[in-house]
Amino acid sequence: MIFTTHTTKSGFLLPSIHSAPPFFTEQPNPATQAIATDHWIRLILGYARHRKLFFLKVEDAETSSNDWDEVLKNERINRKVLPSHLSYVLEAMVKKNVAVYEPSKQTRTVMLYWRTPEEWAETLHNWASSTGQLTTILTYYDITDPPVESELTGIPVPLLKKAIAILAKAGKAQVIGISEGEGVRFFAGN
Amino acid sequence: MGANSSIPKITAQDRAILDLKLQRDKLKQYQKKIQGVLDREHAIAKAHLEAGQKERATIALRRRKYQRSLLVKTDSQLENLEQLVSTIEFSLVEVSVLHGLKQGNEVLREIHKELSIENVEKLLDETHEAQQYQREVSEMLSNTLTLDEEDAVQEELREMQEEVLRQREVLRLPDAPIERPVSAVEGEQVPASHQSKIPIPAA
Amino acid sequence: MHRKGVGLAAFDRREQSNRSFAELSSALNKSQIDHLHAQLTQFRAALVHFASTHRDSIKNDPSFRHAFQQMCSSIGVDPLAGPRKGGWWAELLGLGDWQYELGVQIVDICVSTRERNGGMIEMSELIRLITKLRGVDHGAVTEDDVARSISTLRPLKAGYQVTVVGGRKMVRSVVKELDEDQTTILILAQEEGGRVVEDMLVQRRGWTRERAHAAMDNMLLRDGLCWLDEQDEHEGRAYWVPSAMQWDL
Repeated sequence: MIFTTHTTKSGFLLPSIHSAPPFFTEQPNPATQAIATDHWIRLILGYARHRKLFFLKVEDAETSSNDWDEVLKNERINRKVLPSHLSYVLEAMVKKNVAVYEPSKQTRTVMLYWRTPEEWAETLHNWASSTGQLTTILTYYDITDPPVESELTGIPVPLLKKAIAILAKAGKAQVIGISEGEGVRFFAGN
Repeated sequence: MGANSSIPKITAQDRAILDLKLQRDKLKQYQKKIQGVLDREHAIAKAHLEAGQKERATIALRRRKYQRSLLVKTDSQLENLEQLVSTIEFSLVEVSVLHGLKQGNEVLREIHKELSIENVEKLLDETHEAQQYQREVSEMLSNTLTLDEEDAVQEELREMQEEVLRQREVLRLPDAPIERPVSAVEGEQVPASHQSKIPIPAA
Repeated sequence: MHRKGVGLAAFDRREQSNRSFAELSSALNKSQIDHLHAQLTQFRAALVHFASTHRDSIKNDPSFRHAFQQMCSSIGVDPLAGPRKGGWWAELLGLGDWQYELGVQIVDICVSTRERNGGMIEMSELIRLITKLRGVDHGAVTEDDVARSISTLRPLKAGYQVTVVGGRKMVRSVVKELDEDQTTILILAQEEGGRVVEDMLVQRRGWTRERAHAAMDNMLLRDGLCWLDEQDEHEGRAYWVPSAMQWDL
C-alpha cells in the first residue's frame, strides 16, 4: 500500500502519515506513541495556522462537521480520532507548551500557540505602528475586529492579553482599566 | 527603567476616551446581534411561506421590520459616538500641536536673544576694521622700499629681460621641414640628377 | 699451521664470493625495484588518465561503475572504498567520497524513517528514497552500490546490515536479530502491503491463536516494529508494519 499526501478542500496539504490507518489509534508502545503524538502536534499546529484556528476541543472529535473535520477524520480510509486519543494529544501539547488549557482548570479545550505569545506581541506592535495607532487608546475589540482585516483579526482576548502583557513589560504598551472594561495604548519603545 | 519614563500617566481624558470607545464597541456588537436576528427572521418568514402559513410569515416580517428600525437608530447613535471620539482625539492632536508650537516659539526667542541688533552691528564693525587693517598693511609693505632699492629692482628686471632675449637669439634654429618638398623644386632637380647619371658615350 | 693458513684463506675466499653474490643480488633487486617503480609510475599515469577521462561515467553510470569496480577488485584494490581504505587510489581518482557520501545518505534515510518503520526498510524503498534525496534519475544508484556502502559503515558498529526476508532484501539499521516468527510476520506484511491480522497467521500459516497473538504483541510492544489499528473494518484490530509500507516523504 502506498501512503500519499493529500490536499484538502481548504487547500491544506496533509502529510502521508494521515493516510495510514494506525495513525488514528493510540499506540500501546510508548516509543511509537511518542512518535505518533509528535506527528499529530505538528499536523494540528500546521492546520490551525492554515485556517487561523485558535481553539481545539475534545468535543471536536465527538461531533461532526466542525472546523477540524479535515484533520481529525480521514473519510478516504474511514478513520477518525477518538475523543480519548485527542484528549491525550491535547495534554501532550500543553506539556510541550505549544498550547494552554483555556480557560484554565479544565482539560477539554486548549488555546493553540501556532504563534507563541512573544511572536504575537511582535505582530501586535508591528500592526499598531504600521496602521499609525501608536499612542492611540484602543479597545480590545478595535484589535480583534478591526474595520480592515489584519493578522490579528479574531485573536482570542486571553491570547491578546498575554501579548499585551509582554509588550507592557518592555515598556511598549500600557493597559488602561476602567469600570466598563479595558483598553490599551502602544508606544514606539526604544 | 528608561522605558518607563517614556510612558505617560493615565489621565482623566484617557479614561473618558476609553469609556466612549467601549460604548461604541457595545453598539457595534449590538448591531451585529440585530443583523443576526434580521437574517433569522427572514429565514423564518421564508420557511413559513413555503409551508403556506402566510399569517406567520407576515408576523415574522413585521418583527423584522421593527428590528430593522432599531438598527437604523443605532446607526445614527454610533455615528454620533464615533464623531465625538474623533473630535476629542483631534482636539488632543491640536493640543499637542499647540504645545509643539509653543516650544518652537520658545526656542526661537532664545535664538533671537543671541542675535541682537547690537551684536550684529558690533560684529559687522569688527569685520570692517579688520579689512581696513589688512589693506593698510599691504600698502605699507609696498611703500617701504628706498629709491636705491627700487633702482636695483628695476635693473634686475632689465637684465632678466635681456637674458631672455639673448637666449631666444642663440636658440634661433631653422625649423625642421614639416611638409613634403614642393614638386616645383623636384621638377628642376630631378632632370639634373638624371643627366649626371647618363653615361657619357664613348667618343 | 699450514692447514690453518689454507683454511683461513679459503674462508676469506668464500666470504669474498659471498659478498660479490650479495652485491649481485642487491644490484638485481635494485634493477627489479627500479623496473617496478617505473611500471608503477606508468600505471599511475595511466590510471590518472583513465580517471580524468571517465570520472563522470564512474560517478553517474551504474553499469560502468560496476564494471570498473570488478576490474579493480580483480587486481585487489577498491578505489571507491573511501579515503582511508583506498589510499592514494581514492585521492587520485577523487572518487572515494562517492561511497562515503552514499553511506551518509543511507544513514540519513534509515535514521529519519526509523521512527515509523522500527529500523527495517526494504531495499527498493531505500533506493527510491536515496534517488529522491539525490535528485537523480531512477537507476542511478543500484542495490550493489547500497550493499557496498553499508559494508563501509561496518566499522561504526551501528548494526547496519542487509538481510533477506522472504526473498526480499531489507536493510536493518538497529542491532536486533529477527526471530523466526517475526520474519514470518514481516513476509506476510510485505505480501499484504503492510496490514497483518492475527487470523492471517492462524489460517495461512497454521499458527495457534495464542502464538499469533503473542508474536504480534511482541512486535507491537517489545520491538515497536508495527503499529496498532483499532478501527479496522473487518477484524476490529489490525497491525501495520511500516517497513513494508511505502511512504511519500
